[in-house]
Formats: sequence, C-alpha cells, structure tokens
Amino acid sequence: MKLPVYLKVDLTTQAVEQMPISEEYFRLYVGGKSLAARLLLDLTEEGLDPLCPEAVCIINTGPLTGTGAPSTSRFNMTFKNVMTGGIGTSNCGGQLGVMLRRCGYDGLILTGRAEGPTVLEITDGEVSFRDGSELWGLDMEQTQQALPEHYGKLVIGPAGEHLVRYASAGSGERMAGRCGGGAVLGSKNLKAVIAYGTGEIPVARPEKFRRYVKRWINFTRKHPMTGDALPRYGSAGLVNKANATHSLPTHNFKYGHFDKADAVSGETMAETALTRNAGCVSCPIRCERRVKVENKEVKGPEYETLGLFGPNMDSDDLQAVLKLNYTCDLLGLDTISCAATIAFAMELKERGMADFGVEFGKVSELPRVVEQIAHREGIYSELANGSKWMSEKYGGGEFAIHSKGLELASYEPRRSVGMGLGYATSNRGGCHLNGGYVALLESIGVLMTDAQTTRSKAELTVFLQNSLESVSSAGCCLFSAQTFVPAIFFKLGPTHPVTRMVGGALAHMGPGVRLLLAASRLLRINTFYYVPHVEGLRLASGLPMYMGPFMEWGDRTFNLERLYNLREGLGGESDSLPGRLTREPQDPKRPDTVVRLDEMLPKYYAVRGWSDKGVPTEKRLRRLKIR
Amino acid sequence: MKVLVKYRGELARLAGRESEEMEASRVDEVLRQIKARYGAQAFKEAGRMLITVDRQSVTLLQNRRTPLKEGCTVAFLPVCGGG
Repeated sequence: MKLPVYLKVDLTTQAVEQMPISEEYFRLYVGGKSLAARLLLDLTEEGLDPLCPEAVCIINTGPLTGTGAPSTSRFNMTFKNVMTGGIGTSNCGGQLGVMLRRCGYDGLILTGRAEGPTVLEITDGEVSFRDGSELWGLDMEQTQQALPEHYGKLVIGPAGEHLVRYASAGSGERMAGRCGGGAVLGSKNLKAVIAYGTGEIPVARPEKFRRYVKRWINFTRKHPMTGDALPRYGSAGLVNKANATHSLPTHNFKYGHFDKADAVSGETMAETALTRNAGCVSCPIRCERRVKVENKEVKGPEYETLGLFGPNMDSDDLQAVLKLNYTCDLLGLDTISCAATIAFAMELKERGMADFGVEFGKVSELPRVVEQIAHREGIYSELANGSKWMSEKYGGGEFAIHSKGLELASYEPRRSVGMGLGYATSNRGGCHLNGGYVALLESIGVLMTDAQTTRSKAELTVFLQNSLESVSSAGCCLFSAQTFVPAIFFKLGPTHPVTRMVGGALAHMGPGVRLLLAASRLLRINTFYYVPHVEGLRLASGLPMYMGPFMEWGDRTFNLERLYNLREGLGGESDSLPGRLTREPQDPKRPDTVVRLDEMLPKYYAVRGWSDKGVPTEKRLRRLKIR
Repeated sequence: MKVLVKYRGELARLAGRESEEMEASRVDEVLRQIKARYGAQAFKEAGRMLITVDRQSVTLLQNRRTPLKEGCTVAFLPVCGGG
C-alpha cells in the first residue's frame, strides 16, 4: 500500500516540504475532499479570514485520479469558503490532478501570500516559482495559452485577481466553480499552478485493476444515462425535464415553470448550436457540449447555467446564455452564483429597492455587467459579493436565494422538497451535489418519488450525501454516479407502471435506508452493478474498501466538514433556506408546494446521529473514528 | 380531439418528422397511434421518454391516462441527467 505524499508550499517564504500522509489518515480519510477536510481542520486556526495569508488552500486528488478508470481526471480544492465562512470544496476536471500524481504528489497544501503575481511550477519532483506579472490581468484562456502546452494547469482570471467572492479557478475549460476558490488563489497572488510529470500513477493491484477498468468502462458505455443521454444532451437535457415538473427556477425562484423554456433546452441547443461533444481524459461519458460563440468553438453551458441565465431571468435567449457562459469562464466566475446574484439584483430593481441597471427579461447587456463584476468596477463591485451580502445591505432576505451564503443551483426545491433539505444541510452552502441531489429521485430523474412528501426524505438525503462524498473523494466525477439508478428503469421509461411503482416505493423506504446506514460497516461486499467505484477504489488503493466502509467513509467526511462549519460558527441555525422557499407556496392553490424544513430537519439530525441543534454527538464521532 | 404531437431525439428520427397532428383523447391513444404509424421500435422508444402535455409532465397528471384537450401539445422528450 503506497501512502499519499503531499507537498506543502509556503508562498510567502517559497519554502517547500514534502508531507507524507500517515497510514491512519489514509485508512480513515483516503484522499480527495475527505482527507482535505481533515487537513484543513488540523492545519488552520478558528476564525481566519478566507483571504488572509494564513488561510490554507488544499489541491488534492483521490486514489483513482488519473488511473484510467472512467471519469477520473478529477482533482479537488478545499479551502475556507469565501461565500459562507464554512468549508469550501470544489471538484474539477482537466489535467492538473493527473499531472500532479505523475509528479509523485497526491496533493498540494498552499499557504502564505506571494510577494507578487506568481506561477507555481512542478516538473516531476522539481518545484519552482515563476514570476507571473505578465500574466496578471489576462483571462483564463490567454493565461493558459501563455503557459507551457503540455502541463496540467489551474489558473485564475480577472475575477480571482479582484477577489470576487465567487471567483472560480479553471483547468483547461473545466472549472472549480463554487465557493470562491479563485479568490483564495488570487489572495495568495497565485495566478497559476502548473504540473508536468512522467512518472507512473501507482495502483495496488495493476493486473486486476486493468481488467476491472475495462469492464467498468463497458458498463458505463452501455448504461442508458452515461452511454446515451449524457453524451447526446449533456446536463443541458434537464431544462425541459425540470420545466415539466415545475422545478425549473423562474423569475428568481418565484416560479418553477417557464413557458419558453424549450428555447434554452438541451434539445434546442443540440439542434441549433452544438458542433460536437467532447470529454475529459479517460472519460467515456463525454458530456461536454461544444458550441459556437461568435464563430469560435467553445465549451457550452451546463444545465445550471442555462437555467439561471435563462428562465431564472425570464430569458429565452439561448445565444445570450452561450455568450454569458463563455464570458464567465474567461473571467473566472462561478456561473451559478453570478447568475443568481444578478437575478436577485433584478428583483431588487423590480421592487424599487435598488437599481443596478439589470431587469428581468433583458439580458443582452449582461456580458458587460459580468465584466464589471469581475473587475469590481463601480456599483458592480457590490454584486461581486453575492446575494447574501447584497440582501444584508439592501434588504430582500426573503428572496435572496442562498443557503449559508452560497446561491442555490438550478433546482426549484418547492417541487423537490428533499432537495430543499439537501440545500439547507449541504456543508458548502446551497449546493445540489453536496446536498445529495435528491432532485434526481423527485423531479428530474427517471425514478420519481412523491416530490412533495417529507416522508423518507431525511434518510434518502443522508444516504445520497454520504455516497456522493465518497465518489468525489475517490477522484471520480459525480456524473459517473448516474449509473446508481439501474439501467432497466431507463429502458422502461418514467411512465411505465414498474418504474412508477418503484419510484413511489422510495418514499416508504426510510426505515430500510436507516437500517442500512446503521449497519453499513457489516456490508463487506462489492456489487459491480450498483456502485462500481468501490471495487475500483479497493484495487487501486490497496485499502480494504467495501460497500459498507465506503458508505461509512462518506458519513465520516460529511461529519468532518460539519465539524469545520461548527468551529467556524455555522451551526444548526445556518441549515436554512430563504422565506420564499419555506413560506410562499409555489402554487398558491397548493399549500404543500413549500419546503417544510421544520418537519424534515429534526428527522435529518436524528438520522445523522446529531443533537437537536445539529451538532454531531461524541458517540457519533467516536463511532466514525473522528475522535 | 385534434392535438399536436412533438417528437424529440431518437423518436424524431424513427418517425421521420418532428411534429404532426393526431386525433386522440388520451396520452395512451397517442402511443397506440405511434405504434400503428411507425412500428414497435418507435412505440418502445416513445414509452421510455418523458411525456408532457402542454409542458407538464404526465407523471404529475394521470400518467398515460392523462386526458387531452382540443389543441393541446403532447411532447416526447429524452430522459436526461446532470449534476
């Protein structure tokens, strides 16, 4: 078993030292966001400003990163969340993670602040610091073009340099979008991290792993979701689906249905703008949409971007969304937080509370607004702080659509109440993925359980949150988890009686899921057709990884992130949603179209083994071996 | 009842068109007519798609027994995913 080796880099002094990870930590936290959460807790003091020199930014990988297993070109960033003050994490594709591992390193721990703009370069075992002054001010694309071609890269754009709170960092055209990781790098004067390595990525049982990966790739290619729907439409295919179930945010989450949604749907994009699809290294899914923007082929928008720059602003202008998506990517802005903050400003204007020159339905001028946000010009500097900050200055907390300070993704939770619970309890704030993505079982997937009932939603949310924590920490893209839903249901379709029956039964499976969670450590088997990641991880890492320990690892990770949040002052009171979603029924004729958090949260805390204030109990922490 | 039926994705290819008008009073009648006009494969494909009536998922209505109104639009959309 090869233990991970991290590189600790002090940007102030340019001191570099290797930091081997102990066997105890490897066995408990493995890698990715899980190990990073442990290290962030260990290495930082309470109450640091996320943008101060002492703040720590961890860029790391999982044991599957770069091994050739499906969808494993991923790396993770963990840091103090600039939007929430709690934990910040972001999972990103691109080449950096793969190259880091080829250099012999599983992660970087960055601290300090460089004197001036800097590029951190790692070439095999050698580490050097290059002057990045000439790159400062360049956009993401220009920056990457100016750096050596074959290197894996992570760069920031002008938004990161100007400390926009939701600035992203990018690797190729892939983004570590959420929580402000770009601002953290900007605060350290770190314009780019680049790596090039020629070493082999270690795998504990190479022959067995090679054969397993071949089978896993075939499985991924044959599954109707990862082998057909995602390659054909990408996540953009969800626009019409969400619209049909009233879960497509419209007019700053006031409504969940937009009559002209088809104009910005994945199907319309495929018919009118798509040039081809593409994918990350070693990914058989190839979900990326390539589209033309002003005669240039660029990466197309994901569902969340289409929804939030489209219907959530009352816009059906597909070309505008394509342009805005590309502009945000160049500038280094998280499209979700950026679009949601602008929609909030549109509602402020509509209500006469503040005027930032943005109005619902008028998007042609938004690329200019986005530029000004990224450069913090004039009044737009305020929009660079996000909707929570804006609501504290101008009012409108009821319709500032965030949780803990991070804006919600494009799933209207009043028609996916389990997703509402997930948003509220997600450790990084209003994130659908860290929230467990229960919407996939309620309103946008093939198996649709009752989206309004609160029954079993606490259990399903905990189960999915834990599962996604592990998949991400292993070094995998979360799209690979779409195979969790058996292929048979896609073959039957969402209206087939069997699919309907199983979907309906999910709302009654709470006790069973609870039992599964409680007895998870007894599950010492691996099932290829449910979660193929587990056996892949066992073969790659050499760890005794089975379904049970895999689920418990996710639980441990979620609790660890919670502990970080609690240390930084985010307790149970922060598990909340804006009043629009908890008090105003989406359909005035249906009082059940609200997120009944008050009903779900106590059950959720109980399933987690937390106190009624949302604090993990000592018993729980000991059981998870965190204490 | 005259309704507009829209096809997307693979079904549009199998039907050789993107839309057409049909006489039908329920969603399952539309499915039966697809089978009669375009064969078993098209019927199978249509059955596994998301079906909407005036942009509402039939899973929120009466599923395949959802009644249709004169002039309404029935659409067959691919089931997609994301994250």
